[in-house]
Amino acid sequence: MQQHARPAPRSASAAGNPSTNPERTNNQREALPQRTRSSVDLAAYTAAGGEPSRAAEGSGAGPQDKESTRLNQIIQFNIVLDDTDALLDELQEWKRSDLSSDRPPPLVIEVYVDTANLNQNQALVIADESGKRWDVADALAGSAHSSPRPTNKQGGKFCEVVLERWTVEVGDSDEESATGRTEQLPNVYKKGVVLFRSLYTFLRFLPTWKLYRRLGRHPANGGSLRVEYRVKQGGLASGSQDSLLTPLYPLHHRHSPFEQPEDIYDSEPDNSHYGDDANGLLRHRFAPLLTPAGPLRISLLYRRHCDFAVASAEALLSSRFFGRRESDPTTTTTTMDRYNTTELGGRAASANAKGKSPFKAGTLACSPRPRLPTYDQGFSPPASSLPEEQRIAVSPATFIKTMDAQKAEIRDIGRPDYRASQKRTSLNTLPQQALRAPPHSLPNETAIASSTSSPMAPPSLSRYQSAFAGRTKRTSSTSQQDKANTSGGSSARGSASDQAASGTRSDDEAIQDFVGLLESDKVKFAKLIKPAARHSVDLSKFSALREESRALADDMSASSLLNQGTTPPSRRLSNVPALSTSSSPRPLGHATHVRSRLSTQSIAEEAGRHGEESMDEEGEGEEPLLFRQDL
Amino acid sequence: MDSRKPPEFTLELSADRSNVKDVVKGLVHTVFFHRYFTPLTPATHDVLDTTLPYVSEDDIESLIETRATAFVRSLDTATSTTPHTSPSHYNSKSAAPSPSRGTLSIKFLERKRRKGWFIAKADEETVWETWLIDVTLTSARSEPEAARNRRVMERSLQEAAMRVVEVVDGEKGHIPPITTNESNPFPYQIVIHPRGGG
Repeated sequence: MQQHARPAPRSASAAGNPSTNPERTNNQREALPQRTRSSVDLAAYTAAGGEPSRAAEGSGAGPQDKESTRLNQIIQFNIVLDDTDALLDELQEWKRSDLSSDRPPPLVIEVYVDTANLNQNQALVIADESGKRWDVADALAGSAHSSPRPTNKQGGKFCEVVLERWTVEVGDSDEESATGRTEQLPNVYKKGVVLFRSLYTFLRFLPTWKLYRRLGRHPANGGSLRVEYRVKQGGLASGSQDSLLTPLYPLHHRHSPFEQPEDIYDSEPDNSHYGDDANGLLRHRFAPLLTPAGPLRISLLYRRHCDFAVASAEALLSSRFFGRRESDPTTTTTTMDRYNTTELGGRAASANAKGKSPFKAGTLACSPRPRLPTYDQGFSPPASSLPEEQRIAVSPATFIKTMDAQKAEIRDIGRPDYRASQKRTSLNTLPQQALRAPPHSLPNETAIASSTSSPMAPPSLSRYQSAFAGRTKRTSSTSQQDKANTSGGSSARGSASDQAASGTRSDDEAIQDFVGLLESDKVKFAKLIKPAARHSVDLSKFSALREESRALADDMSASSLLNQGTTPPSRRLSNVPALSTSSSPRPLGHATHVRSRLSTQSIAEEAGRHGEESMDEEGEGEEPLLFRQDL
Repeated sequence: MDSRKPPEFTLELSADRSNVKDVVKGLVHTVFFHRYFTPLTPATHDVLDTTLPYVSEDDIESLIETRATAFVRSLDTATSTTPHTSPSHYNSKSAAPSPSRGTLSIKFLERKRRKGWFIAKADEETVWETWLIDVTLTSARSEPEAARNRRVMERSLQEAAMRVVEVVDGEKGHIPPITTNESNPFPYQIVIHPRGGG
C-alpha cells in the first residue's frame, strides 16, 4: 500500500481533482489500482495512480485507508479524487510489478469531439482565427483515404476529430534520469504532487477545456456535440488517418493578423509531424518525473483551435455555393436580385453591401444579410476577411423557398415573419430553442433596436406577434430571412454569439453550474450539448442590429404598401432598378429622415465590425436616391 | 545561482480597478495550489474567463482574501495620493493619472529544527521560495481604451498563470524535504509592498 513506504507526511493524496476534464484526470488518477497493491514495488508505476501508490508507500498507510474509505475518494498525490472504475482495465497493464524491465507501451489518452448525435442536417464546422467556418467532415475526408465515411445512427455525417492526445510513458533511463533511480520515494512523491497539480492547472488552459465549457454552457438542444475521451495503447502507428494531425483548414487562413502565432500555452509548435506549425498543433511536455523505474514523461499534442460548432447542413451548402459563386458575378447578382425581390422593396436596410445601383432596392433589403455574421458572429472580426458574396450564402434551394414564401407574403405588410417560421422548420432548428433564445439575447442587444422596433411594428405583424414576444418575433423573423443564407453560418457562430449574447447574463450561473458539473461528472464523460438552433440565436443578435433598419424598413414598406396596395412581384422587380413608381412621395422625406437615423445607428452599432462601416456609409449615400424613385 | 539565496519568481499582472482584486486573488490561489502540500480537494474558479485552480481551505482562503483587499486598498491610496501631492517624487505629471503599481510577495518558508545552544529549541524559518507579483493598475479614459486594457488584463492573467505552471514544473529540486506529518509543512507569508505611482 502506498502508505507503508512513504515517510512523507503527505497522506497519499492522489489527484483527487477531476483535474483535467473529468475525463482526463480520472484516467490518470486512477485510484483504484493503487490501493489494492500491497507490494509497493517501485517498479510498478501505474501511469495514473501508480506513482502515488509507490510514492505513498513510504508512510501514511493509516491515513490513506481512512481517506480511502471516505466517500470512495482516493487521495493520491495530495489531491482528493473520486474513485472511479472506469479505467481499471486500461491501467492493468501498468500495475505490473516489473515495469522497470518490461515497460508497458505508452498510455495514450485521446480527447475528441464526437458527433454521434448530429442528425442528418447538421454538420460539424470549425471556425478559424478569422472566424471563417470550415466544414470538418470535408477536411477529414479530403485528407483521408477514400473509404466511405460512416454515418452515425441518425444519418448524419460521422466525423470525429481528435482534439488532444496525451501520452504517458515511462521512458528509458538515460543519464539524466539515472539519478532517478536513487530518488527517495518521498521526494518522488513530493515532486509528483507538484507535477499533478500543475497538470491540473494546465488542463484548464487548453482550448479543449474552453470548448468543453462553451458546450456545457448551452446544454439544450440535444447533445449534438460531445467531448469524449478514450484510452488506447500508444506506440502504434494509426493505420487510418489520424484526425488529430489533419489540418481542418488551410494554412493560410490560420495566421491572421488578429492572432499571434506565439501563444500563452508555453507549448511549442509541433514540428515532428509537419515542417512547421502548419497543422495548428502544439506540443507540450511536462518535466519528467524521475522515479526509480524510469522517468515518467507526460506529453501532450493538441489542437490550438477548437472552435467547433454545429451548423445546419443546408447552410453549409449555401455557403459553399456562395463561395463558388465568387467568381461569377452574374450568378451572384441574380441571386441577390431574386432575394431582394422577395424582400420588401422598400426596406431601408443599411448600406448596400454590393453597391450595385440597379439593385439598390433589393440590396438594401438584402444588406442585413451580408452583415449577418455568417462568419462574424461573435468571433473575431471576420467581416472584412470575407468577400461580400460569401456573406450572402444562399443556395438555390433556399432561394426558391424564400421566393415562394415571400411571394405568399407579399401581400402582407412588411414582415417576413411567416417566411421565417417556415424557414425555421425547414432548417430543423428547435423552435423552442430558437424562440427562447431571442428573448434572452435581446436584453443584450443594443437598446436602440429594441426601442425602435416595437413602436415601429406594423399592424400586420400582429398576427405573428402571438408566436413570439413582440420584438423577439421580429428578431426571429429577421433572422429567418437572413437565415436562408446564414443558417449554417449562424449556427457555427451561434456558439460564439450566443455565448456573447447570453454570456453576460448567465456567466455567473454558468460558472457555478459548470464547477458543479465538473465535480459531479468527474467520473463519467461529460456530454456536452450544443444547441443546434444556435443560428437562430445568432441571427437574433444580428437582427437586433438590423432591427432598427428593419423596423424602419417595415414601417416604410408598410406605408408604401398601404399606398400601393398589393404589389405583385413583378412590380417589385421593376422597382428594383429604381424605376419610379406611383408611390407617393410622402414616405420620402420620412424615409430619408429615417434612413439617416438608421444609417447612423447602424454605423454605431457596427462600429466594431471592420469594413462594415464603409458599407454603411456607402449605402447611406445611395439610399435617398432609391427611395425617392421607389416610393 | 547562489544556493543559499532562495529563488524568486516574478509574475506580472496588469488589471483595471474593478478586477484587480479578483485577478490578484486568482493568481495567488494558483501559486498556493502548487505549494500547499496537504490533501486538497481541487477546486477551480473562473476569473475573467480563465479557469484557475482554487485552494478551498478556509484559512488560506481567508488569508488571501484579506491580503488582496489590503493590497488593493494600498494601491488605491497610492493612486489617490499621488496626484494630489504634486511635489511627490512619484509622479511628476500631476494631471494625468499614472498607473499605480504594487507588489505582493508570497514567501514559503521551511521550518528547520534547530537545537539551540542557549535558546530552547527554536525552529528556524527560512524562506525557500519567493513569488513576486507585480501588479499594474490600469485606468482607462475611454471605451476603446478600456476594452484594450481588458484584453491586456486577461492576457496578462493567462500568461502569469502559465508561468506559474512552467516554473512549478521546471523547478522541483529546490523544494525542501517534507519532514513533518502535519497539515502543512511549509508556512507561508504574504507581504504587501506598496509602491506609489509607477
